Amino acid sequence: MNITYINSIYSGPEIINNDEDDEENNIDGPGPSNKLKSMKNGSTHVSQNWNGKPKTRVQLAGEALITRIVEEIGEGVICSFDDAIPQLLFFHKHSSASGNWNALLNVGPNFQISITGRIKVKHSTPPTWKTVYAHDETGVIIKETSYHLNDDAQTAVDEEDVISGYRYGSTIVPVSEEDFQELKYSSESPRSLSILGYAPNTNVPPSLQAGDQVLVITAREGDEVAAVALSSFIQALAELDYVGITRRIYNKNYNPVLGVLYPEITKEYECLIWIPLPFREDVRMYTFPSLKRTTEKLSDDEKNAMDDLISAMNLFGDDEDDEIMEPTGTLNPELQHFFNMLTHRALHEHDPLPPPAEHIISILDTPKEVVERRDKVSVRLASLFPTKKVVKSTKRDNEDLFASKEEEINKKKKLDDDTSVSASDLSRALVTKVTSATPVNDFNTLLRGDAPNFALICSQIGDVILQLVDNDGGSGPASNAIYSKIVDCLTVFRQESCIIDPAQYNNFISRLKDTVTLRDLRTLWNSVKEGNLGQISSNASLKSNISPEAALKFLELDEQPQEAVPEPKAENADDDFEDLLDDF
Amino acid sequence: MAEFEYDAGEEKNEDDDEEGGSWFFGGRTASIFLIDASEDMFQASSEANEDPSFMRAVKCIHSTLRNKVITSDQDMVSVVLFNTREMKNATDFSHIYVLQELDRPGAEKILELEELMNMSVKNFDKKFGNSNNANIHDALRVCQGIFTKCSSKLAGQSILLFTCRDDPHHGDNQKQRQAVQKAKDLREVSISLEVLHMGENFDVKKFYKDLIVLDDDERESQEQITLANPTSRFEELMERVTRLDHKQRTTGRVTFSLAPGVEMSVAVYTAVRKMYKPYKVKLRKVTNEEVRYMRKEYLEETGELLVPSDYVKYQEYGGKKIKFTLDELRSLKSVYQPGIVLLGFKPIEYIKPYFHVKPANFIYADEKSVQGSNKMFAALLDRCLERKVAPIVRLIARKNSSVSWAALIPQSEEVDENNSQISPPGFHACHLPFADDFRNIQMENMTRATTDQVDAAKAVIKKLRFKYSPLSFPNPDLETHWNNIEALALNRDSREPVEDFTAPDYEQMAKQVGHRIDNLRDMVYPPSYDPAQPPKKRPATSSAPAPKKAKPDPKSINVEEMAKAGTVNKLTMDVLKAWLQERGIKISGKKKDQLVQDVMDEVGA
Repeated sequence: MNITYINSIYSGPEIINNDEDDEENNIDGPGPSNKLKSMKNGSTHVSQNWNGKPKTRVQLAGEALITRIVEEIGEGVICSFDDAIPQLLFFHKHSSASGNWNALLNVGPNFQISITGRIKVKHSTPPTWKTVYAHDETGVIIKETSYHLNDDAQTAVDEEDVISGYRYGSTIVPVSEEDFQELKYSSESPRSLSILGYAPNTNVPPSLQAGDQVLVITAREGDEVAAVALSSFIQALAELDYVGITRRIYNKNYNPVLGVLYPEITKEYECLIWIPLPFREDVRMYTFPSLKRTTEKLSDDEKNAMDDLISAMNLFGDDEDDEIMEPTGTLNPELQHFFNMLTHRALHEHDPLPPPAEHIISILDTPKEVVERRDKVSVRLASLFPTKKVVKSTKRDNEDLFASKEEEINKKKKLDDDTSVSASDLSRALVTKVTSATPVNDFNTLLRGDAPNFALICSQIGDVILQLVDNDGGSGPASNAIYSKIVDCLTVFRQESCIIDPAQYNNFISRLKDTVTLRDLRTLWNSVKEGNLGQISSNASLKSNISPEAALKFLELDEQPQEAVPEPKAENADDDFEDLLDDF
Repeated sequence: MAEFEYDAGEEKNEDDDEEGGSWFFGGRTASIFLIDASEDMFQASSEANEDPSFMRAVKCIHSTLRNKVITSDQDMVSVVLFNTREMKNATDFSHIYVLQELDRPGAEKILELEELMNMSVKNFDKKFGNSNNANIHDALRVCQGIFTKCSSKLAGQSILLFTCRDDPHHGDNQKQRQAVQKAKDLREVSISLEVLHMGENFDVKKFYKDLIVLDDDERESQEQITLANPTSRFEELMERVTRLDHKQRTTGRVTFSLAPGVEMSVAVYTAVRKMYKPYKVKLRKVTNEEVRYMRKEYLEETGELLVPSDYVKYQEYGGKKIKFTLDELRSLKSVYQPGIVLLGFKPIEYIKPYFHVKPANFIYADEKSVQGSNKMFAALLDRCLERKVAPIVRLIARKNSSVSWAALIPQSEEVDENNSQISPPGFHACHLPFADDFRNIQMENMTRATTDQVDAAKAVIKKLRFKYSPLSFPNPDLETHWNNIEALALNRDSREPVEDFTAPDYEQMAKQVGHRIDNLRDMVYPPSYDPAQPPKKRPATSSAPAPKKAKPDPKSINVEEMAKAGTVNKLTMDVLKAWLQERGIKISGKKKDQLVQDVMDEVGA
């Protein structure tokens, strides 16, 4: 439909319409009646401009002309700015129609009705996201999958040696797929909707509804005989205030889904509404403390205060048309925000995303007209129902001793949460933390940034290195690449530590050695040796308290993992503590 | 607005429901089933068809374990007997026998309970023996010790005590005091004690009331469940245990703001949640050890290992890739702060059943986070019930969870004749759809039934009435699946057949409804009408999409004519092949283009 938005304060060329009464008559032109209502009100009283001044004769004439033009076009709509702006401001997702699900409704042993089911309500979500490598769209990505035992060495297992099984609690049950397939349940039913029985409406409260969609069930299109048969049930259910309990087989041999059938009768049509119901396994029953005593203790004053709130915040006027916040008239703010951000990013590729727009937030805010009335009663409510937040002592409180650690956590959090980093920044390599993609670059960039926190950066590159070690299966084509990457990381890490703080590197490399010893990663350790990437001795840095001899010994891989560690470990603890206080 | 933290690692976000059936929490729920093994427990039941109390208790625990395996296999369970002659426990208290240490449920434990269920009195006496001398204090102490020893992080700890002896320490004040003191200690370390009292004449006031009703805060809650009448039926016992078990599972706690400065805390629960079949695990063939699946992605060029942060997400928009980082993607969802905010009230009758996009949540006051919540909640609930209105709220369950709004349908408390709660007080948060969620569907006004026909339908409906309960319909697919796994795990020789309760039982229905249904059918259907063969289509109206054409009979198609008209390529492969084959032309391996060409050649067009 061609929608023409025309504002009601149009000031056109000076054409004087002598027949002023015409305006009143013509106003009932095309367009939705509710939109016209506001316009009508505006013009039947003293015609006013948006700024409160009375409209001039010229303006009125112009309006009349425009009204006539819109009428002539036939498909135009007149509405005020107040109505037009939201139309342009909000995005409208193309609401899709529904496919027809044609089936037979089994009413009884020997009685079927030909029906069609169509989706009436289903949660609408943004389109599916696709994934691409951040730094280079054209980058070719190799995927490698493997199976590993849950042991320390993460022993790889050949795919041929892997079978399926199921957990039965802590017991694992191996199954052969073929056997299991044979024992599988099958509804052995054609596509159908079958009535199991009827229950009082109150027996099936909305709180029991399951699933994520609502179907409308009508007689098959063009089948008036089916329509009569269905109608007899719809009307009978409505009159008895009963609902149908059904099972639906979506397609031949599919698993059944239970559902409830509600009758729906309007002037324009009759239909059944089908909504899924849960199986026994899907329901959770709860018991909660009775509130009887608390309720009994309420004073009349307290009850009245709550009643006043209910009256003040009524969203439903005496007249049906007065209702505010109807589901059919309330757009999903999340979708609106999504479309807004998509447009924003498309137009301003490198800008950070702005916060949600005011007009979007207001969709699900307490409506203005209600807020005013609410605020008149809320003070009394607050004084009658005082609440106090309970401060829970958590584990974190115990850590308060280490205030500096807390600070560091906060800092780290800040870095992680920094929302100003956008995707495009990422491709322009704005670095906020050491990542496994380009750890060496990240490390260097961060060090040269404003007020670098050396301890933090070191812990990040350390994590990346350990992550790389973890991900390495010990063989395969990628292993060599990973090793060289690890060596690169260690080299730069060691280099900077030599100058700034040798303890950082020394602590890390002993940690790495533990892992190496534990998982017997000799190849990796050989690379470390070759690169001369052992502990930083006092020879290399004056700040180091490790003797050159100890450093040399450290490079040797012991057979007993424990032996090499104890000494440095004690130091670690101290150093860690210092690190915490370390504020670069 | 104050914002409360969710207990770390609680139930997974319902939006990414990939975890399927298992409920994994940051901490596990641990339960100890503490069963009285005194002689009284073995007395024959006064109810017909019921086992002695002890067997009923064991049967109940057995069923609970089997359910746990399916619904929450991360939970920890332990079974302890007291009033046995023998003893087996870490602290060497007499008459207390730890049958199963705290661990996840599994086949072995279930089989062990089966053995116990079927054990002869003689064997029981040989292995455990009876006594009346166990000290309740000692029993509770042993349970506490079991919890303390557990190395897993526990989110909820409860002791479920099964007994039929209402006055175990009659006249011994010392022992009574000790037990009460111990119960108090347990409360202080957040171990809840529930008493499942059995037998008709059990008087909680004699002893157990002092154990379970300790402080005002919890008084009402405890009274509710444990001061229910004693149960002597298995089903009842089972239901009580199930409800107790579900009790601890909250989805989260949030602030509910009625107006600025009028705020309380509420806990949100999941009431209906689709249970899926369990995921397969991968095992090493030789040892049946579980193996881990690892997926790694490398950049071909550099061999660089890629982690999630190396990727961005994009949407195609105007031919361009519009990219967002993962963090940005998450931020797209946070239009509002987490919490529940009151928008207004609407009459309950206005909330249409088809305002449905996902299962409702249950909401109850959370006095533990904000004092005064109970009172405000009770007042709101009371007034909403009285005025028949539902609060309309914005509901953001946690940071980055989807924006939702809901109608809070008030529910009053109801108890059955045994004083057991059947519907708890609170609100059902029924999520409302947005305008975007409604589909455009055209509704036609079709012929309506006459009063006589409606009356005939009423007669049918009245004969097929039943009281609906979701508990009457197990999922046959899930049941079959678990039945098969269970049979393997428990080495069963035969599988219990699974009955499909969702299949309509026409025999039964026919018996119920009799001639009424034929009567109705004859009234609405003309004699020759066959619903499976709907009448010839009326000429399609211009607005309606053209109905799918019925497959034409290949024989009736005049291929020659079509070839001459140049429309032969509209025919299907099957038709083309059949036509060519009739004329002895090879068709195998030919593409459609070739087939069309062959037809054209044959016709000479």
